[in-house]
Amino acid sequence: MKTLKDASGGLLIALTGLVFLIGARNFAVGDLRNIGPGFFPVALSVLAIAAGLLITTLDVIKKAHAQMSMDLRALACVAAAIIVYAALLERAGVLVTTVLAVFILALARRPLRPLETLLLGTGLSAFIWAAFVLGLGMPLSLFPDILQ
Amino acid sequence: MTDFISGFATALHPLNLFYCLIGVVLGNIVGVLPGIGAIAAISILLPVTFYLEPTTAVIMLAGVYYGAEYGGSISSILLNLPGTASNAITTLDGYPLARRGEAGTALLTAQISSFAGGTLGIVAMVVFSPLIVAFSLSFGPAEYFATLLLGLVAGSTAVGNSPLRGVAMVCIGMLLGSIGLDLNSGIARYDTGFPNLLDGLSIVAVAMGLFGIPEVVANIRAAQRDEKPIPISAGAMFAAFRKLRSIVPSVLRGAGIGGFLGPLPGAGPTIASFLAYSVERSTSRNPQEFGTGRINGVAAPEAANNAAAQTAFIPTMTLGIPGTPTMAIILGALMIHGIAPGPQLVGEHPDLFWGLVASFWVGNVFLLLLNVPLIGVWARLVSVPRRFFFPVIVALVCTGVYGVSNSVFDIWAVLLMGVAGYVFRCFGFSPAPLLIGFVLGPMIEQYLRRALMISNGDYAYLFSSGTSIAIHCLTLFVLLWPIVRSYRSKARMRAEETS
Repeated sequence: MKTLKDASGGLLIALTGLVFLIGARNFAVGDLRNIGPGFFPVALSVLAIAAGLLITTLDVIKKAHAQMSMDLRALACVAAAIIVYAALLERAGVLVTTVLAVFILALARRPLRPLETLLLGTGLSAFIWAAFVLGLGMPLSLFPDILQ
Repeated sequence: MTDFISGFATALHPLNLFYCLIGVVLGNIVGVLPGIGAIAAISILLPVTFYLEPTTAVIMLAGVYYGAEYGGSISSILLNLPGTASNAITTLDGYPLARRGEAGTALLTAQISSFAGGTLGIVAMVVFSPLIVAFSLSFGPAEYFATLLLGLVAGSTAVGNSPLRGVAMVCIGMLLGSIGLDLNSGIARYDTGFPNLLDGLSIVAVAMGLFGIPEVVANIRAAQRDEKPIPISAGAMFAAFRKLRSIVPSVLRGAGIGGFLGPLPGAGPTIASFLAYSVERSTSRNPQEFGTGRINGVAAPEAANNAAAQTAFIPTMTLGIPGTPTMAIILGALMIHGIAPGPQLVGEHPDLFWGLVASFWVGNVFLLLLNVPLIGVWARLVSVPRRFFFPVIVALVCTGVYGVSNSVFDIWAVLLMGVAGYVFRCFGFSPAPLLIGFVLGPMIEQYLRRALMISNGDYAYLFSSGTSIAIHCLTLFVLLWPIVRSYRSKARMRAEETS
């Protein structure tokens, strides 16, 4: 298990390289004298895979690579807040989306302060609406579409 | 010199003055707040720049960058907590001074040294930029390729703890950069059926995802210490003016070190401040007094990091080589506006270049005027609970990135880059090389293919001029230096063990 943890950083790089290598399978590589659109992607993918495997090997041999522990709860809350924005911003408007996202972010830490969070969410919505919609002219509405 | 003076006409335009002020105030704020860096603030501001003239946009983004160097010293001195990495060394002497009741002296020293360092850095930029431009105008695709490769290698190996990890991240960054329509063949690479990806992945989404989101994830649950900054008033700062004569040599040394290190790829303000401090200590007659509250220990690093923050713009603007991820984002902002970075930039857009340089000095004056009389306001900002800032960052990132092309596609891209950036960071991979690879990768590919087209596929063309050979030698040195260094330090450790 410990070995797997040491190995996973480099494996992650190698895996990313592999995904890009598979994605590049249909690009014309060309030859060294006249390189095609696939030359750089293939070369970089192979280099990434090699570097990833080398990192894995070194990390497993050294065993003692300092790693930050992953904070899954914080990651889940922040990711969920971004998903709320991606899914709702155009449909539900700035106010609902922002208040919802701010509440999800507030769940990352205890204790939950409902009133403070609500005030922060509302104030933030007002600021975003004023700065981005009124100021910069982004095509977003403050309230959900059904109200208009 | 006349160019520089005419730049003030651009910099003093009311709109540019306004956005310069916004930039430096925001930079100062994120500098004061530990845990939020200039790079996160700049990536959050990137979407706003779509709505501005390119000159105004770059003036604002640059203001955030050097403004953070000013603000960072305030929390270093009053809180013993560096606002940004390059102010970390300032805590060593700044905080003891403040504890001793001389917070005013320490803060004034930091602000005046910052201003002097920044000013000297600007002078260096005014003097050396035209020389570099004149030299590099003869560059062909081979020299460009060599210079970009140097920037890529230096940016990837000098940042972070392990050169190998840097290389891995650069590769991933260049792969992400290759997404989109290939200009030579017209083939769409990695578009996976999304028309949004034909223009490539947006640098805004990549920068925000890599630098904004992981910072929020890493800090959102961190318990905030009960931090009580040392009280300070503007009067105490004004009273300290007469003590400043003794710092002049330290400021000059610090600015010299910072001004020299700033343009080097991968070095930047942090390394400059550390080096300036150690030079200051080793040249002092009383080195043992450093760390107990000497104002020279505040003056030298603060002059150094501000000088470096200004001279870092020299290679970025004159050659198109960003030495740090922040500079890569600023280059990205220029490219968004259709301005190609490189030696031709100064000649083609003199108002942009000299307006920017002049705005640096305007911004430095703003910062000095803001920080000395209003020090009480900034000191209070330190005690605002940090939990308020994280929702603000997430909301600004998501709404801001939406505005890039008014499409939620870019919000999904931020999600992907943010999660990946956090996971990579947890495994000890620095996001900086990835961003540098993302920006430089497409340019390198472009110039290599152009060079091969000119020479009919003859690789000797890449080494056909003295300039390109010299640059390739430098690249090789940068690549091999960490290996030599680690070998030497291991040998030294072994020698110490046996003795």
